Amino acid sequence: MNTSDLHAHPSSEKVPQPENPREARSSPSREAVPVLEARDVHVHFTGTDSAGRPVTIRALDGVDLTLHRGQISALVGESGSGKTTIARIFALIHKPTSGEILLDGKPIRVRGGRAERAYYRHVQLIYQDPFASLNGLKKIRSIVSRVVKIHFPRLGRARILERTEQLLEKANMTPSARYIDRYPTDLSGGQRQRVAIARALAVDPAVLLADEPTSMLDASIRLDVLNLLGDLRRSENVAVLYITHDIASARYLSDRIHVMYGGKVVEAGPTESIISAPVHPYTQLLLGAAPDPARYKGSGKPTHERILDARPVDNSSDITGCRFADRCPVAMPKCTTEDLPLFRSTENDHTVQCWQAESTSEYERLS
Amino acid sequence: MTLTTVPQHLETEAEIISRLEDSPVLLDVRGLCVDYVTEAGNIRACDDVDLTLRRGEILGVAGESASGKSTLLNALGRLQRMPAATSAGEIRFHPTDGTEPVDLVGLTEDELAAYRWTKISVVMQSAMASLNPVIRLGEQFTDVIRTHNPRIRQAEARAQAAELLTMVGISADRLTAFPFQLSGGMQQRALIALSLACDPDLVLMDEPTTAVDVVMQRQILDQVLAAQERLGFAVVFVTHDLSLLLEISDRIAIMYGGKVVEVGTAARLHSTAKHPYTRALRNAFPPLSEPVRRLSGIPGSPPDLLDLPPGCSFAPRCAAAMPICHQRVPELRDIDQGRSACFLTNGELSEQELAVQQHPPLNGGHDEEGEAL
Repeated sequence: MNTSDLHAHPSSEKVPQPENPREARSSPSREAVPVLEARDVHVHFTGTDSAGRPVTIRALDGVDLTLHRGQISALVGESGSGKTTIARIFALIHKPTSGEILLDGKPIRVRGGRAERAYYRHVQLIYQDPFASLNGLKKIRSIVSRVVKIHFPRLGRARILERTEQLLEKANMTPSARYIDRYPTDLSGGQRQRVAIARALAVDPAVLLADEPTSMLDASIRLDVLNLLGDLRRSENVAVLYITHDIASARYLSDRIHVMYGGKVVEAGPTESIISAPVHPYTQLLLGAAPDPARYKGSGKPTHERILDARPVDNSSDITGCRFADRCPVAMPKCTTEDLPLFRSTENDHTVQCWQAESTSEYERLS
Repeated sequence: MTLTTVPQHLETEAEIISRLEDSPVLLDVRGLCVDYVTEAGNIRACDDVDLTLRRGEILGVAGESASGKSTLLNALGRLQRMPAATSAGEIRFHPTDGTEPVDLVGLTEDELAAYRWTKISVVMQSAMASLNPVIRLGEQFTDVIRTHNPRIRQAEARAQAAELLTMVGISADRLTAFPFQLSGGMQQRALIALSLACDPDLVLMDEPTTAVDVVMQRQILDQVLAAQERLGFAVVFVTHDLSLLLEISDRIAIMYGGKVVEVGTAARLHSTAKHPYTRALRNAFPPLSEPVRRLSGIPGSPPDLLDLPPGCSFAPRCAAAMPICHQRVPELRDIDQGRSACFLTNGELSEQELAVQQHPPLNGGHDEEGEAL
């Protein structure tokens, strides 16, 4: 579609400098108070089982999660593990059945109205499908400037336009004049997602909630959107919740990884610690199952242990202990008779809810 | 969850190549063109595609949206409907039962019926859209089995269906279930089992695991590979996920703008890809076990098939493009271990011509992005 533009502006796409995308990671930029926090959040939905009987589905089952400015936290796990429910809790779309969310350490209890709008000045959501999240009848100018007008009602027209242009350029839509009077249908998926990001940045947010922001995009443009989020973390000092099923991209982009299973965060920690030293058998399964270009056919590297039987998680039953136990290759009797333990590494803040940590000296039991 | 360590013999690249060389040709595609007829003009979604598939080979086809990969798969199975039409080329199929090779392009629907399911079967992305929602699973199996072999009794067909389901890890008692009573992963595996019902020589798979989770995807792939080892069918596997193809494919064809631009073994495409697009696509997938470094996407957008550039369709996005790349379409030529359609590597230009192209005289006109990949 835009090949003619490419001829006209061959330099419009930046070639990023080779650098370690996570170099900022080691510096302890974590503030004492997380910008956004979920504390022991439970979300129950009422559904029906295959026989039509009502059942309680525990979409979230006691989740603790903190987001810090300047950090990207990835949430990985299978469908139904509760990833999107967390984003929806943070976006005030669902209300926790119990537990609370805190913005800058203060509990949030708003539903609608001015208080909700004030909350959205700090927390913005980027959706999965940029073909559905932008109004196809509006120009990019009005899609982005509407948010500016709503949240900064005192700005004059010239200032609104100026800010709209700045936002587009922040999202690498440069020069902004080339895009501002187009409609979403004129843009590619990657460009639309960048418009959605520009719109989210309009309020100068503290937190971006990105639910599978690249899964609808082609491989060749996915990385540019990931790199954009990675750069905004630093330039805007924003906290990003990156929800994905692609653990390789979580490793590429994030500072911390949270692994979800059956409505719980079963393992969380610094990205490289999760990737190179996973403790929970589910994390190990996830890593083993993900495609890895280094294990190409003919490489002589065994791909993984073959998985010939997998069952989806059942969140509706009332159980003691671990929901993964019936799929777990190393389950012990106490996994289903005792409450889930919580262990933390003595070397970093890698935590895991699994008895496997008990046998290593690196982990101490917290609860 | 059962984690079963299957003692796999890990073939080396040389072993894969010699296995393919020893294997007879199953499908020979020559000059295949597929057009979509639109008011704005014909869109050539597959342009002059040549492919050779051997018996028992797993051929991966990778490409982005609108690269023509699904169009190619539909054309191979003669599944396309208007406005898509095969406008040129042949698909020569060599049956394993020793009968004469046929050109699938020339067959009528009635003649094709003899090939569907028994010689060529298809697995599509959406199982729920492929399975009949109001017919029990067992009947869908026995229907296929008995249509293609009327001499098989109902009870026998039922037993075969049970065996097929068990092979993909689904309990035989699910034969009485309706498709919607199965999970998404199970539906997809049931569809794969169904595609194997009549012992085909070739299974065409169009993104069969895209809609499921990574663990379920792995399980489905494992079932496919285990069944493939046992039954020996060939597979054409279409997906955008190059990482996945590198793990499962004997050879991979990369498509761009309706053309095959490179063919090679997984090992060669991983380590020494010859086409800049292949390298760029491979770099678009972050590694899981290798060290992380800053990667970049491919600048620009995929080509508009209605308005293709005059030369190589990747040239406008290519960091290594030379003046000739914008003028002439490179041929897909045989190179050592595979094929390439890039002037830099396909041998179409002499070394001298290449040197002139790479360092054009200063007033020589075109000067695109000069930085090498």
